[in-house]
Amino acid sequence: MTQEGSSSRHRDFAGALKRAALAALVAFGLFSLLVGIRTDTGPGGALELTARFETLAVLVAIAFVGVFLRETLFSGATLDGSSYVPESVRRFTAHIAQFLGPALLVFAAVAPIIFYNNRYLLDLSIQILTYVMLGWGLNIVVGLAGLLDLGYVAFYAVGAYSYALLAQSFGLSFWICLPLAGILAAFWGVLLGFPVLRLRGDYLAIVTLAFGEIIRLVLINWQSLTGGPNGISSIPRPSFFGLPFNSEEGGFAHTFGLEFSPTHRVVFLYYVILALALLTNAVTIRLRSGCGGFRSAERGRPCVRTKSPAARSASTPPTPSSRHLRWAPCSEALPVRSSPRDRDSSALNLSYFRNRQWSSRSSSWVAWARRSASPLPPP
Amino acid sequence: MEYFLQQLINGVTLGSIYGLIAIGYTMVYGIIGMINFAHGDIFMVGAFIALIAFLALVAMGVTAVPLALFLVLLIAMALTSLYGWTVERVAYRPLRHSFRLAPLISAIGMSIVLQNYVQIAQGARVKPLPPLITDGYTLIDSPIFVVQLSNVQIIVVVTTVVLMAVFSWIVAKTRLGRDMRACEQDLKMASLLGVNVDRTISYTFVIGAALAAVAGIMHLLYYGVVDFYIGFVAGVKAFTAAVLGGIGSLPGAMIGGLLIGLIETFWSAYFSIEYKDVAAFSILVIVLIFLPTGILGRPEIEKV
Repeated sequence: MTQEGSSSRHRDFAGALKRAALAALVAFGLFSLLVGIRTDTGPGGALELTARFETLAVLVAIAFVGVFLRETLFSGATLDGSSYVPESVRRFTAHIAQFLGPALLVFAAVAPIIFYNNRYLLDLSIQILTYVMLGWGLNIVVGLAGLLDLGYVAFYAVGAYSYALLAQSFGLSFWICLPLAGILAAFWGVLLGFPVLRLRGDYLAIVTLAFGEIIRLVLINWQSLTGGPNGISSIPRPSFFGLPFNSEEGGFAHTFGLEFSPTHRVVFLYYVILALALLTNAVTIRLRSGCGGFRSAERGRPCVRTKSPAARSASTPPTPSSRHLRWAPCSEALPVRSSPRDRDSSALNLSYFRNRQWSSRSSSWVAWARRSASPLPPP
Repeated sequence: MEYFLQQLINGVTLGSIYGLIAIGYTMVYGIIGMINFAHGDIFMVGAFIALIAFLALVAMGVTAVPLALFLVLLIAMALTSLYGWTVERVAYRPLRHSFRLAPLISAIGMSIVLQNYVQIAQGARVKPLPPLITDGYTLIDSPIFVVQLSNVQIIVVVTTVVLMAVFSWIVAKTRLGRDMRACEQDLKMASLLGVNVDRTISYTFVIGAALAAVAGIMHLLYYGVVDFYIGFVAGVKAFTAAVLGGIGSLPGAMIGGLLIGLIETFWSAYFSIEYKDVAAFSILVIVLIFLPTGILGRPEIEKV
C-alpha cells in the first residue's frame, strides 16, 4: 500500500519533471529570439543586436518552476479560485460588502475635501470616475443587452469632439454642450446601431470594432475639422453654472467671497463627473430591476438578443427594439421599463417593445422619451 | 493604363500577403467557430522573429541572401507556430466549453498581450531592414509611367501560390486534412469517430501561425520595416478578406485577400491614401451586413 503510494507519487514526480522540462523548452523557443536578442537602432541607422541571455534564462526558469509547482501541488485540481475560499470567509466578505458600498460612496463624496491640496490625486480621481462611468455605460450594452460592442469608445470620442467643436465654433457653454454631446453620441448610436444590430455574436463585435476604427481614422485624417493628431486646443473651460473660474470680478471665487484658487475648477469637475457617473449607475439599476426586457437575472443570460431565433419566432422585428437599446446606453438618460410580469420571457419582452404597452408605473417623462425614441407608427 | 497596371501588380502582391493571413482566420473559424483575434499579432510576431533571425544569421556570418532567407523562413515558421500553439493552449482551450463570447474576449486580450510583449521586449520604434532583394524588371518603359515588377513582388506571389498549393494538398489529401474537415463538419461527431479533436485544433493553429509567419516575412521584405502595431491593422484587413471570401472557405480566403489588396491599392492610388484603412473597414462592415456569407461561404442555419 505504502509502497504503491510512494511509487505512484514517484511517477507523478517524474511526470511533473517531464512536463516542466517540456514547458521550459517551449518557453525557450518562445522567448529565444524575441527576448534573448534585442534590436536597437545603432548610430548609423542600422539595427544592432544585444544579447540578453540572463533575462531569457530567468524566463525559462520561471516556466520550469511554475509548471513543476503546478503539477506537484495542484495536480488534478482545477484552478478555480472560489473553491479555495472557505464558506465563512465568503459570508463575512458578503456581510462587509453591504457596508462597503455606502462607505465608498461617502468617501467619493468627501475625497476632494480630503485631497484638496493634492492636485495629482484630484486629476487621477477625475480620470478614475471617467473610466467608471465609461465602464458602467459599457455594462449596459455588453452586460445587460449581451452585445459585445468593441467600438463603444468611439462614442466617447464623439462626445469629446462634440464639446470641443461646439464650444469652439459656436461658443456654446459647457452646460449646453453636455446634453448636446450626449444627444449627438446617442444619434450616432442609432445610426450605427440600426444596421449593426442585425448581426449577432462575434460578427457584431467585429463590425463595432470596425466602426470604432473608422471613426478614429476619420477623426485623425480630417485635418481641417479636427486638427488631426494635434487635436483641438484652447477649448473653453467649464463654468460654475455661468460663473467662470477665474480671479476676476464676477468669477466663482469673487462671487462666493473665496480666495481664488485654480483647484476650485478641478473640484467642481470632480463633482460633475461623480454626479454623471452616479446617474449612469442609477439608470443601470433601473434597467436591471425594473426592466426584465434587458436581462433575466435568474437565467443569467441576456434576454434581448436581437435577431435571436426565439425573438424572431415570436414575430418580433429586431430593429425597433434595437433602437430602444441603442438609445438607452448612449444618452444614458432614457430608462426603458416594462412591467414586472414579463421579467422571465425574452420573447414577451421584445413584443413588449413592439406593442408599447408600457407599465403604468413609469413616469411621464420616461413615456415621452419612449415616444420620441420610437419612430415607428403604432401597430 | 501603365499606372493601372502598376497598381494591379502592387495590389496582387499586397493581396497575397493578406490572403496568407486570412487562411489562418478562416481555418480557425471553420473548425471551432471563433474569431482568432490574436492572429494578426501572430503575424507581427512572425515578422519580428524573421527580422531578428535574419540579423542574427548575418552576425553569425551567413551572408548569402538565398540561404539566409531559406533559414529565416524555417526559423520563423517554426517559432511562430510555437506561438500559435501556445496561444491556443493557454488562452483558448480552457475556454472551449465556456459561453460563446469568452474565447473572443480572451483572443482580444491575447492580442493586446502579444502587442505589449513585443513592444516591451523590442522597443516601440520602427525597425528597419535594408532591402535584401533589390532588382526587378521593367515591364513597360513608356515616357509617362514606368511599370516595374520587382523581384520581391515575384517572390511574394510565387511563395504564396506554392504555399497555397501545399496547403490545399494537406487539407484535401492527408490524414490531418481529413481530420480537419471532419472537425469542421461536426466537432462532437468527429471526436466520437476517433478523431483527436484537441490535436487537430492545435495543428490548425500551428499551420495558421506558420502561414502568418510567411506573411510576416513577406511584409518585412516588401516594406522593409516592422513595428509592434502592424498586427492589428493587417489582422483586421485579413479578417475582412476572410469574411469577404466567405469565412470557413479556403479558396474564399485567398480570393478575399486578393480583392482586399486590390481595393486598398486602387483606393490609395485613385482616391486618398489617408482613408485606405477606412475603405477596408467599410468593406468589412458592408459585407458583414449585406452579404454575411461572403462570396464562397455557405449560409449558416440558425438553430433555436
